[in-house]
Amino acid sequence: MKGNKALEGIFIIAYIGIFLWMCGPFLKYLVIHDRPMAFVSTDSYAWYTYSKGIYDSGSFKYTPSFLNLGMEGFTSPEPPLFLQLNAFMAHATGLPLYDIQILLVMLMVILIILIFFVIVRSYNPFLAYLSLPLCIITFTWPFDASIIFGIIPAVFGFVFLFVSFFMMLNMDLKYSAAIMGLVFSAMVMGHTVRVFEFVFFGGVFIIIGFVLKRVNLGFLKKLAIAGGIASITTVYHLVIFWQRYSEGSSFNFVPLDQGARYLTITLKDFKFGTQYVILAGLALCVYFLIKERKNIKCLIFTFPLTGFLLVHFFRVNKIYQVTFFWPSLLGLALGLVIFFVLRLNLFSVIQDNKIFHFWLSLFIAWLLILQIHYASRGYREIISDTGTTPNQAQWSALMWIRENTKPDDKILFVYFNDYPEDFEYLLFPTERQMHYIPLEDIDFALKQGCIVNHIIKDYSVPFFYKRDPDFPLKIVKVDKSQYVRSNMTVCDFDYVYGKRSVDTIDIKGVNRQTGIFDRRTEYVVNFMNELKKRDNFELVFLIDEAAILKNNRPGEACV
Amino acid sequence: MRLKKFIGTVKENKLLSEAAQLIGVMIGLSIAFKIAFYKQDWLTAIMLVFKIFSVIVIPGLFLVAYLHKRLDFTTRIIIGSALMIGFVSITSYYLGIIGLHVKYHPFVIPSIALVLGLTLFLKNR
Repeated sequence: MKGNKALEGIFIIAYIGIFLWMCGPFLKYLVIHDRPMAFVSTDSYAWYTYSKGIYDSGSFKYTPSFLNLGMEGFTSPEPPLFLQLNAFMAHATGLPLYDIQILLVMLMVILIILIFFVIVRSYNPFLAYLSLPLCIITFTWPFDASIIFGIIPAVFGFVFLFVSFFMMLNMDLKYSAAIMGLVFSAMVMGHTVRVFEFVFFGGVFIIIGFVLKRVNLGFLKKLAIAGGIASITTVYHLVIFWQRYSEGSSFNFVPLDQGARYLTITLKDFKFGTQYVILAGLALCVYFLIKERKNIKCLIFTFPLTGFLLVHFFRVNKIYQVTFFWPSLLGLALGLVIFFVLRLNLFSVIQDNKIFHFWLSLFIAWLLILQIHYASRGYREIISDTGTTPNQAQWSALMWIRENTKPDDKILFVYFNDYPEDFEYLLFPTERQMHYIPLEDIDFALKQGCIVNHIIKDYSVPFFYKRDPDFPLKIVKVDKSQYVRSNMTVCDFDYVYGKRSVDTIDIKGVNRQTGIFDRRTEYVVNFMNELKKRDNFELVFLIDEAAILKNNRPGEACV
Repeated sequence: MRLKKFIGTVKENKLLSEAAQLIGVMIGLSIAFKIAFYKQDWLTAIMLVFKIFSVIVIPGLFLVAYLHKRLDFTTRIIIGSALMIGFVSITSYYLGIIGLHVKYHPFVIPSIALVLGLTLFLKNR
């Protein structure tokens, strides 16, 4: 028996090793880097920046001032817990903040898989072993968007959604209401949408549990106590979250059937015919729910059913994110089919053999790795360097600004990157107020064929909230227009950053050296040369990628 | 002969047995880390696993130690780690708000969890 336990330990560590190994290409097989890796979406920069603010200032009490046009004392409605964890872990491990951020999201995804594994294992260990192989798909496109697309607070929220599944099955544990209170608090302050999903998962669980007489009023009483605990622990954050929600932010529940590839994951994404096995497995989930109705653990079969139906019929807002963890949830359905087949009399010799199940599970995993990992490994090595991930030169320029300019210096970015949406996020690591010339304005100048008087925009977060000093639970909304400086010209800035070369790599690894990108760069080089001819400006930073000019007399006429 | 006796003692004593399992898991994960991130040096991989264990996994195990009769080691280490992530995040958030800099939290919060876990364990022995 003890030998079997040790073997099971090795089996689980082997799987953790496989999952980590699947993550290796995203980080170029390194833990520590000299620049961020796999920051494929601008959101990664937002979380990095807020975490950096906590890392430096010590708390999430106030937003970094450069995000609020240089004004101090504002507070953020963003979900705080992952940001706090990120800063905490950076201090604890000594790793750069951007490295621990991406590593944490990978470890949390693996933790979610393991949590669901122990949930299934509490029903039947053999079924749990057979449910694990499909989880490998979590680390392949499009499911891996959960890791590389900066959806990090969502992943944090999912950890606790899955722990809530475990707790619902174990509400008879001592202090379960308190533990559930902790789980609810983490869900609310980690990623509030997860609470909405819990209503679905928990609702189905409770209704079926009532029908099967496995859930009683004591269960609901404990849930109510947990809700009470969570409402106390989260009220400080909830007041500001509610302020943002009431202003009609992005929490509109609109059906989502198109957009980025990872928003519209369907069963077809499982490939190799596994989707048909999964469908059969879902039918078996219903069968097992009825057959095993006397065992409360049979309620584990409600999770894949709810996870599948919820997204299939209510793909609204952030609920699509459940699909990132379909490989775990639907892995149970796939495992159930194999488990069911092995229960047939034909296999009576091996159906209770643990070692056979270990090997079978690892064999299926190996088949999937052969099909998926080796087919997509090249893509996954490249993707960590695409999207909005900064190249080495861009990062060194941003760091030069952070280390060589004063916190209140004004920096103008003439041309940094080719992302029209939220590109300002890429400038966050400078920790300076961001001003920039919009891409369309540069394109307008290109059409004109001469250097024009540019529109200069600044960036700030959309929410300017302060807590009432006498009663911190009261949120005061501040009109940000009073802080905006209009009619700024290039002469008002302390530093001007201009891009000199195009070396952005697209997803297939092909350098984009032609077209509009080159013409924009050429324009910016001319623009910078014109500035450099004036006495005010001197060249202080020059690499192939970019140049930075310092204005020695900011505010004076220069063009 | 002495080694055999020692192994026998460890197997019989639950606390020692779980400590041995924990060390085994740490060694296993260090190897897994090194294989996955093979370009990184050994020392970094081992230190990273050690630090994650010291602030998340071990305090998490302590937090749920009082459930040792109901949940086995594997379940406790996984659920304990998840709960510790929640405990760390929430406690760190509020400690920061009341003015304790986050750089001190890796010493303070795991200590709170260890004391809390031990108290719960002793109370529910």
